[in-house]
Amino acid sequence: MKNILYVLLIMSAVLALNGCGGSRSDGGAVLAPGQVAKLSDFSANQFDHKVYIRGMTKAARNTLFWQDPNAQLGEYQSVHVEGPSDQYLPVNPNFVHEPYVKGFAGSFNANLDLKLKATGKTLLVKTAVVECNPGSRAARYWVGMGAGKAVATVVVEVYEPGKDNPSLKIYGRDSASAGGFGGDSMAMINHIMQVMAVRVTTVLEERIDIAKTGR
Amino acid sequence: MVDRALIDELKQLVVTALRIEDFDPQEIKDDEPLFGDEGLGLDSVDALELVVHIEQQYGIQIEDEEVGRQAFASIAALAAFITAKQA
Repeated sequence: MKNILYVLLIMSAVLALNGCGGSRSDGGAVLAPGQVAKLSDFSANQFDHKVYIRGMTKAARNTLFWQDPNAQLGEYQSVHVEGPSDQYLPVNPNFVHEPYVKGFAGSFNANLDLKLKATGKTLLVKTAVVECNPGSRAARYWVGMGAGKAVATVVVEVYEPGKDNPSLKIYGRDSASAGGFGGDSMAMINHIMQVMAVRVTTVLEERIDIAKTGR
Repeated sequence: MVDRALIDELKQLVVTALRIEDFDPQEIKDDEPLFGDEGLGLDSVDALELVVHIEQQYGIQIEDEEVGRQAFASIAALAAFITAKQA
């Protein structure tokens, strides 16, 4: 039963990658590596979403990406994953985020096929959970209209050896506010983490595959 | 009082900022939901991208996502929100 639910979850996430709202262009000129923000530009607990997404393009539902036009991702056969870091999460003394960050790590690694391929030149993949907010069940129940929703954001950055700036950035953010009597915040955050792990690993593998095949 | 020019400008901004291809901005209805399964079906990162563009273009600050969510309910709601912020 658990396996069936997992397969359905992956299928729904992959279907959602196509998203809605019409087809999107790539936005024209791509910003150079020094012009886009990276995780290490931010201090602990001070991640700025508006600054981070500048220059990024829609990759899939609730997912943005930016890629260095000069990156040679196709030359690499494997990846080394670091993280997920939780140092950029805002301080919230009333919420323990560690189980959800670990949940994202488990789903991310389970979905990432690249690291299982032949060894050779290796890309460094840094991951971080930069937002993990259970919201307010009371607000969801009493206020409605999206108030008090659970929300989480993850970031993936890919580095070629010897480079200080990422060659690829992926940003995924999702929220949920459904459920009876305001819904279960913990279940919603877990669900968001799993869906986003599928989305960002799919985009990551797509981008590297595109670089390999040239399509 | 509906600011027709602002509403038309915002429709254009949505299409341009989100790089939606082959879509006439005038096809967006004034009261059509921007998010969710109905209407345009925009998502969370679309909302964030729109916030960035609107803050830059209209010189306002959208501080809180709950405010943003209500303001972004439709193009008409967004126009009313910007007008109130600029007053």
